[in-house]
Amino acid sequence: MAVIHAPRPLPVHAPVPATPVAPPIELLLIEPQFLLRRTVAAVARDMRLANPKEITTIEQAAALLCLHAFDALFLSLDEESAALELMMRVRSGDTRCAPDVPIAVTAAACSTELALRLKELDVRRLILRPFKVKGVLDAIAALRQPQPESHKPA
Amino acid sequence: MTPAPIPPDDEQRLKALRELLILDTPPEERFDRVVRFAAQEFEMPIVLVSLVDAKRQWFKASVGMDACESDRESSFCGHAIAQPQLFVVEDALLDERFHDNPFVAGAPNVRFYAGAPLQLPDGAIVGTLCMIDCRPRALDAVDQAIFASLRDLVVSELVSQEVVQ
Repeated sequence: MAVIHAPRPLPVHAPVPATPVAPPIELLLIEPQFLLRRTVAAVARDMRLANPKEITTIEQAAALLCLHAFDALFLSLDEESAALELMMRVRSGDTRCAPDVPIAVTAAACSTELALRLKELDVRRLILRPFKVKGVLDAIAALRQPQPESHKPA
Repeated sequence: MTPAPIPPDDEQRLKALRELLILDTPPEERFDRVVRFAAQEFEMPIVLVSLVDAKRQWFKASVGMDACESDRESSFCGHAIAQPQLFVVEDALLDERFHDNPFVAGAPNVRFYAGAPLQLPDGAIVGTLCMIDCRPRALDAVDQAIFASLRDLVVSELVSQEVVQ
């Protein structure tokens, strides 16, 4: 799991591709903040990184994941316990998504306990506030890449 | 200094601006939050929603600028609205149009300017979402996409107000 502490610049090893070759992924974007969500979605779409489905709550996400599969999930941990529960359901194969669907999350803070929980849930990226749209786009770009075997949970 | 050009369609442009019924109205959170967001995202000291009136530019929303308006002739935004693309001056001191501009030679000592034209659905460009820094800067492709997306949100708010009223 990679942790990005904004406002440091984008890591050079994983730049946001200006013109990605691969087709855009179907992304479920769960973010309550309107401006952040709308900007990330618009730019990800413009850059053909992803076709984001924008929603604001974990409850909406849970309902949607029973109906549709997505290639990746990007969610805010503002509703931490509900978000962890949802990710557990995804990993258990209790939704329409593949159980190993790539997931990235944002959070205001991260305790050791939360970090371990996210690692157990095979969360690929954790972005801590305050962060920038560029950091989120970088994380979405990383969700498009296959995860190295060495990073997969035992 | 090169004075801001007057577009050939300025009369229609001003008509569209005035029909928005937004000039000289109080600040509104829906615009304020966009300039705050842009200032934070790009680490810019000054971000404005600037509407270009006949003789002045008037700021509907601002971060880092106390004045609520300035003259059109010496405005950067007056240049930006002359075309629909993103208008960027990376270093005003090196640009013959702006090196002796009063906003460059004096406060706020503009060096970098980026203006995204606010183009209404009917084609009229009524102003800009603009960012200013007192040091030379550049915007990469991702920055430009983010900035354009924020501009689109400002246009949506202008248009939604137009429909409501």
